[in-house]
Amino acid sequence: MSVTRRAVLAALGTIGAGVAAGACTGSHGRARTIGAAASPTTTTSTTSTTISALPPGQGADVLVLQTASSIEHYAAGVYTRLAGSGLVTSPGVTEAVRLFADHHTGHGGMFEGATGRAGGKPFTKANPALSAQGESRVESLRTEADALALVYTIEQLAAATYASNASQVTPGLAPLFVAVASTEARHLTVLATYVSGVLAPAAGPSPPYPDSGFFGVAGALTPGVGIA
Amino acid sequence: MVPDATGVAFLQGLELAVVTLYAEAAVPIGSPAAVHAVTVFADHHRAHAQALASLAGAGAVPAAPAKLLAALAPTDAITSERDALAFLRTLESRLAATQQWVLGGLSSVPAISLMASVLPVECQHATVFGSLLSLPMADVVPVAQGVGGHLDPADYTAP
Repeated sequence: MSVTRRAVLAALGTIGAGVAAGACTGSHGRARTIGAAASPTTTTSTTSTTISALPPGQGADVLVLQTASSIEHYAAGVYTRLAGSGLVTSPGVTEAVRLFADHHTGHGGMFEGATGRAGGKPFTKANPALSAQGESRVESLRTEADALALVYTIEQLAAATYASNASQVTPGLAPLFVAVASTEARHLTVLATYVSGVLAPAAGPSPPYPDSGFFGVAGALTPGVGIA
Repeated sequence: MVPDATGVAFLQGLELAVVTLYAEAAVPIGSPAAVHAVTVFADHHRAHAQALASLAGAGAVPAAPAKLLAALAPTDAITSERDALAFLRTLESRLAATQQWVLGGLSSVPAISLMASVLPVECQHATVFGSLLSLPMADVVPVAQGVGGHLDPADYTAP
């Protein structure tokens, strides 16, 4: 076994046996299905940031991982608030909100574990900058469609950030970032289905997948923003 | 450890195999949503194969390797749209797991960046098929992408 492969397995080991053993074919949990789509809405674009040049190595890894866990805690917090807000009432959407909140909590733990293994102090709170930006949006939510639009933008930011991070960290950490980015991408697909239906246009405001077939990194959060 | 050039060429052959299998599986598909998904996703896989071929350079394979086609072929006859969608979901899941596995051996930025842009989309394809099949959400959206069911490049050679 190569050093790289060991690093990969160590990173994935924090996910848990069920995930490492084949997440894409499905972990069996609560039996709900993706239901009818919610009413159409539009998506507010995420803040466009550029990727800062980071010195390679463990220090950069730690900063990237800390930023990632801060995003996950922010996302989990928003989903948890929505679950208790009374705004989300459709059965399928309610299930998605609860499941995705759990996922983001789990992702936060994965990134925190990796931070510790990289020699850093895990960042265990919601990203302050994102929280400050997001608070007014959360307060202004009035409908389930509003809520879906908000979490869609959060998932976009998370997925784009981790897709970008995969090539910023030492290669042994890339699988962790892509593994999590892939689940955020699945979240996007489910949310798009609720917003616009299973035939939501890939070129529309809340696409279920990128029209090009390639996941972009536009809107990725610069490592260190909000936490440094 | 799979060298990047070898891993990228393997993944290119895998995408070509997926394109071939999409065409075969699509025959009984007729509903508008499923036809749309299969058409778009097959195009995505062609684009993925092309991008991987560009990265593989001289190591790129000219066609889908026979051993990969055999390994991924349906084990039961596909006689209905539901059969086809279930097969394609499994195909996407194995593709994603294999990409995740190979990613663990990659070390160059271009190869890692390309996989970071391709793998999430394969997972989105699988999610769409899961949605069309009305599968339980926890099955459609796992907590993170894993490597279960992956193909090992060491078991396959060029055609």
